Amino acid sequence: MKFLEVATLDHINSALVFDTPECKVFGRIEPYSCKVAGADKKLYKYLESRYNEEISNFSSSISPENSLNDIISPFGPMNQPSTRRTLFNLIATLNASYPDYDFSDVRPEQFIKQPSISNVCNYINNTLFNLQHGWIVTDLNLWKIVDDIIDLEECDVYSFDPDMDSDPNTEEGAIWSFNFFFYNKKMKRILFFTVRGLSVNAPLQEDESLSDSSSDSEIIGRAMPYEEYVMGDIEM
Amino acid sequence: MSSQRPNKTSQKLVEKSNFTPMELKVYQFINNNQISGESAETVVGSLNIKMKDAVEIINKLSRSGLIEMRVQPDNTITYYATNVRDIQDETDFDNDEKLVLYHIKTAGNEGIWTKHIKTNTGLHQSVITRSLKNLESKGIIKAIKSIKHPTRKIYMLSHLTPSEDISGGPWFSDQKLDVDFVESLTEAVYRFILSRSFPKGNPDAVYCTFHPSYPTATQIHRFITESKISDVELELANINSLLDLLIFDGKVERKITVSDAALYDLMEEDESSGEIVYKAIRDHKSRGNALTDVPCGKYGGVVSPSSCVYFRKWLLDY
Repeated sequence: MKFLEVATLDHINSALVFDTPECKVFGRIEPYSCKVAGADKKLYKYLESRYNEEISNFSSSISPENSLNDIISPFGPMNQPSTRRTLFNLIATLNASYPDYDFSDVRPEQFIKQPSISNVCNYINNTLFNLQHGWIVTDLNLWKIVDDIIDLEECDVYSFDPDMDSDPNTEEGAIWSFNFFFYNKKMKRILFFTVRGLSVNAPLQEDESLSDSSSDSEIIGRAMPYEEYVMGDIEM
Repeated sequence: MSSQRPNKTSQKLVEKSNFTPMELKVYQFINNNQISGESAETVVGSLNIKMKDAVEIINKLSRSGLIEMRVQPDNTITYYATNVRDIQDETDFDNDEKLVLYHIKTAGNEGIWTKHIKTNTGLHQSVITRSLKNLESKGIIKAIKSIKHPTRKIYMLSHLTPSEDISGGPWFSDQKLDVDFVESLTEAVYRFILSRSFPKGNPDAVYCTFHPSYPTATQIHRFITESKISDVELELANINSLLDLLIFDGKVERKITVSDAALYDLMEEDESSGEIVYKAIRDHKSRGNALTDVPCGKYGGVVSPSSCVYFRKWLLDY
């Protein structure tokens, strides 16, 4: 996966990091091209061999009458290479977006296909409006910019729904989060849109500066360095 | 450093590199004393060189990773020759890679998460990614999976085995809990304890409280190991985990044995004379439920406690 630098997203990405009285919000939109890079080939081979292994394990325990070709994933029947390619692209995107993690063993069932793009957009809009940042949608023209990059109408939209111990957002102590993959097969592009909300008392994140960021939020509490957060008032 | 002989292979390696004869001499001198190392003073004394030169040479050898410095309890500083593996590890890498490698080495068999490497080194993500790729391609480090954090990217030295914390020990294969294995092993342990818990023959008989046949964890461990039920070698700690499982399931109970002397001497509170043994708990279900124990359940007729003659008797007897 190749990360695409798109200048029009810069304002939006800056705007997606802000504080509210209740939480600290970190959002980002990352466009990727599904061009296969070196490490991706290794991932693809790994996924294919894992799939073949599962098929052969399965066939030794099930009678021939049951059609194995009916393993359906959220992306379609797994016996079709294009379906597996979708899984590969989504996993590769996750790996690219979270460099400290390796999602190669994630199961297809941990992804959800969103039936309606407009529902997804509404959901994102509502979330941003409820956080007093609806102006990102209206004033910064969020969807026009996204549409120019990925052509929303032609996209399939997926979300990743992992177990707690596989979720990078949970690890950081996020109170809530969402993620969406806007996948345009024809363009061979994926737009990854993820936002998470952390408690105001959460430890300092690496993409956070010590000085107060957003000007339109009240200063409630300060970001604590990790040791203080962990040890609190405990006298050593 | 357990070897007392000078490291001959290191010596050969050093001789191949660009060191002056005097530098080589200093190295050999230090290498010859693996036990207590040498200080700058002894180097000066034995090799008859000036302190200034000795210090310079020691610094050069140290930077090349050939010798390492240790502070003794009396705060003096001594130098030891490092072993060959360390040399090979350190000389081919740039400073960033050396730093990353240092943190991976320090993490030992627990491994270290890339995010923590970032926090500890302060290096940029791309630098770390490049360093890790380089080190991995040279076979010095490997990526491993933790069962507690299955998606984290964790690295450790190639020749180390991941700790049980990471790999899950004998209960996990391929990151998944081997349920069948745990169940069959637990069953075997239970049957062994059962066979030593009740006298054969009479299903209602029990041993007296301090009967010596209840097995200890060590005896159970020996039994399991000798029966070769498990392909994997099991530690006593693993057996204890299985025993906890059986206790929580209410199948087995823990008892403390007491020596004969303590039996008669009620003041004896020496707990060290007791050992922990395990006894199976008999399954009472086969003996009927509470209703059948109550008199009117057994004898038929109009089933009503108020009209039951036996019930009254039972209550009175109580």
